[in-house]
Amino acid sequence: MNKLACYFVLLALAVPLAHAETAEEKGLAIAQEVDKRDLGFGDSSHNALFVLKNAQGEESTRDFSIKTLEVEGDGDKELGVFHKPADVKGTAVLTFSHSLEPDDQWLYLPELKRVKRISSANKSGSFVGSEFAFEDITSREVDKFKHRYLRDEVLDGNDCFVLEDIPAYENSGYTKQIIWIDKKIYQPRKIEYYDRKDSLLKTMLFSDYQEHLGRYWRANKLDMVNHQTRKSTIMTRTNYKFRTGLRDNDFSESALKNVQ
Amino acid sequence: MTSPKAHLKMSNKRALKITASWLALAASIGTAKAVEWAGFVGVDLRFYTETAAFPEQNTSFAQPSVLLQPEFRHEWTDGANRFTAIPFARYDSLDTNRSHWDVREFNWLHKSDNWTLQTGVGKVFWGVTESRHLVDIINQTDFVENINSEEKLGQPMVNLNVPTDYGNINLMYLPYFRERTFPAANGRVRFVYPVDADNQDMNGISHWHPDWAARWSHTFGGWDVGVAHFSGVGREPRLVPRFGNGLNAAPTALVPTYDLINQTSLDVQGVMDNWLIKLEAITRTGQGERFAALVTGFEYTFYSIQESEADLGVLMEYQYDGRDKFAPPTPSNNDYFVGTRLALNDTANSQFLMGAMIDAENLATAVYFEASRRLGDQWKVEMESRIFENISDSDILRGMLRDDYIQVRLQRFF
Repeated sequence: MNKLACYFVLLALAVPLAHAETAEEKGLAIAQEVDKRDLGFGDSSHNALFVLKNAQGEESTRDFSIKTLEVEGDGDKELGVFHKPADVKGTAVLTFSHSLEPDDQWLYLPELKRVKRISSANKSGSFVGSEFAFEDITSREVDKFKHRYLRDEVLDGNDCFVLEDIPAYENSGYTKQIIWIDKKIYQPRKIEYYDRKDSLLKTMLFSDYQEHLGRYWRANKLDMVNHQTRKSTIMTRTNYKFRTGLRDNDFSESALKNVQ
Repeated sequence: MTSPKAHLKMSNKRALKITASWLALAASIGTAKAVEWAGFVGVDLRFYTETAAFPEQNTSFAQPSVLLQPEFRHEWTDGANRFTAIPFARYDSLDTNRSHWDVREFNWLHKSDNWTLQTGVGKVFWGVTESRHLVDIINQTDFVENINSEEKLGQPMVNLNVPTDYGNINLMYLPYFRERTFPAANGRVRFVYPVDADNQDMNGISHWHPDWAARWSHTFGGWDVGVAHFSGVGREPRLVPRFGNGLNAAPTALVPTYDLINQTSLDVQGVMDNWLIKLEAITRTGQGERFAALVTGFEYTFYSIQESEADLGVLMEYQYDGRDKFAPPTPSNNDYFVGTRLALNDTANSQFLMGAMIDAENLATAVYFEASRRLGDQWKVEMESRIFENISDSDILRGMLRDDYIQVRLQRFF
């Protein structure tokens, strides 16, 4: 073979690599952009009200306050405290989330003043009887999923990327999630959850987005519907505050013991 | 000298003044958002399945009682300071000693950037295991409430907590000792001889003996480790027989006798997938020869069983205690605990826990069952049952052999 032939072969190989991004690469790039745009928020706090509705339409509520600390190079730290129902008031959950390693999680029981480790194997279990599973509410790190770009789609007037996210962590209750990411704010508008049999289990809609510090977008309303049980949970988030000066010590064992 | 009437009048006036100032204070802090009232009121209805074993004991099969625990909290300077007051009271129909009240908490918590300081009456729990709370030593046990050592009396303390990169450091000064509560002679779930809790033997130790405790704790990946030391009046009393009718007759009572002890402890809890691994170990001097004791075991949880939301846990623990007869009695010298926990994860938060403690030597068995669920947003119903089987004459639990019970508790939270 002469040098010219070699050159053409190399060129033929290089061109598709340089120009045609695969669906996986595009999916990853979008997920990374979502992550990047949320970098630097520092810390935040907010209240969350869960309204649980069963198939008969009966409602019950859960009231929390949540503090989040951004950790550079790792998942966020989060401290959630129950205010309602009254019998679990003061119960708190401290989570150190990680990308692929299991999250560290502790539960504080105020009656006994006791701190218990919680197994993070419980990804798919219901969070406080709601339609949110534990894995739905922990921080959504890039490496937790294998991303694949599917298509562009307009959802309720918002231009979106549609991605397929396959959980890369163990013990997930899902084979896949289909996620609609708003092209303007790089935040999810909708997620479909597919169960272990690959049939549609739940849909979550994000609405009432609000911008904080001129660049961080948070949905004030998350609406989760379980198609198989016809139960639903609406989470309303209020009173968002950013950069309130939270530190590591606010997410420590003693902070957990002093929540109320 | 003022007449009693005048005195009464004066104290009335003073009381009025105090009430007025309290009202003013309440009004002023009531306007701030950080004032919070909470707590619960409850009714316990306990039924015994057998007649009482001892003649002094009340013969009723049913033991109703009421309990009340209001909780007051006030935060100021943006949560950097907090005042907490939690009184507790129970009125019991059968057991004179079980009708009692206590200040569970009455303290001021100050949070600084690098430390927290709690001053006043408070509660501190140490430990990780389910079947026995071996390393938990700060608060005295309110034994009339429950024999599970989970109900505690408020403990006066100055409690400094300093989180560092090398672990959490906790230093405690405990200026006042509180005696353990025990059922009265007419109560059930007591020892063979009634404990004379009003005439304890302090061994010449003052209630104001300055006790102290220190604890270091740290997280290493999936493992939480704590090492602690306590020096002061041991919370566990020896039960010394009193021979009121002469040395040849049976004892008439047990006298709670307290000693100065030193106790060093280790507690470890680890998580690996569905496993929780637990260990508590102590060594103590001051009550007989130096001895060691430990509780160790695991909890394995099956999540979302049968494609439902329910979790099923299996618990197993082993208890060893090397104390001699000059130390307080314990049923946990060489025992196994097996248990199971079912959490339905439904909106009512329904839970079941069942466990059995079995003595490896004489097969003495204590079975425990607990179930609870929420009713609406403010109410909770709880069932609890204990069964004592195979308890030999020499076992400390012998007196409870005929005290199997089922209890229903209805609680209203506010």
